[in-house]
Amino acid sequence: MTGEKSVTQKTRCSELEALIQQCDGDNPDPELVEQVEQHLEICPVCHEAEDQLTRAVVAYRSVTPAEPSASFEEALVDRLCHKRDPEEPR
Amino acid sequence: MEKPWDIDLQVYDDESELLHGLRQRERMACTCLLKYYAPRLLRLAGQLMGDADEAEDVLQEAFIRACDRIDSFRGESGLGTWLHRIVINTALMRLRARKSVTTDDIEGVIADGPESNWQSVSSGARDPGQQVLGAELFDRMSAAIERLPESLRIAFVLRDIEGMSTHDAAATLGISESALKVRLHRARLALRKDLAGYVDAAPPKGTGSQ
Ligand SMILES: [Zn+2]
Repeated sequence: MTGEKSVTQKTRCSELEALIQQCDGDNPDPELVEQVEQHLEICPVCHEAEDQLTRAVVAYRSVTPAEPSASFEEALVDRLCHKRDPEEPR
Repeated sequence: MEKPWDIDLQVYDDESELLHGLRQRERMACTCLLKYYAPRLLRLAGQLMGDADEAEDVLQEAFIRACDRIDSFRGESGLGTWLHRIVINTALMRLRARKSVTTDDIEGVIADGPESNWQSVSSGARDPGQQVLGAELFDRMSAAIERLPESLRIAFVLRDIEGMSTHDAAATLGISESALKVRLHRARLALRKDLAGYVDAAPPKGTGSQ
């Protein structure tokens, strides 16, 4: 568990990387997945890094999304309110 | 930022009145629907597609599908939850057409089922203070999410951004819960690396709220 340097020192964990690499992406062994999750709980490096990432995600989610352009919205409203069922006369 | 068609979103007292207006294809109802839901759904579409340009196409298609099916919406889940599902479904179909995303019974995602563990993201925090705090973070996170491989990005968006349960996210993608977890952990590991040295600066939980 050595070799990481500079800014990545606090977030990289070779043990976690090895565990995750062992998991088959399409059909993983549930026990191996459980080991990954246990590791995330007990490893201080991962615990801190996951906590930081979770805080970043919470902050990210709280940012108000930008509105679509007015022209896009107006064109879409036009389409939505003018569209009728095929059998219904206009 | 005034627009010529700025409207009072409280025109409809509740969701059932809005739904009635939508079923009549009232212009005001369609406008309210977009004003209220489009920003968040556009962001979701962009996150899923990993491409801002395609996000508007997804949003347009999703709203058209939603209005076409509005008569069959029974309100068992909230309108917002239902729309989120349609956007996710529409995005996944486009991605699958583009190459191959594992999806199963894609129409089933639209089913107007119970809310289950779905978090109500449509009424999320809109605290302007937090928005200023998060401006740079948002750009960094957006770029990092966009850089994730598609299957990891979708797992991360559904589970961590949209707040779907592991069960629901796995069902949406037609994969096992274990496979969903592996994709999620790979995505989070990639983000840890990508955002290394930056996430330390992210505001702690609760900062910026009143
Ligand atoms: Zn670790």
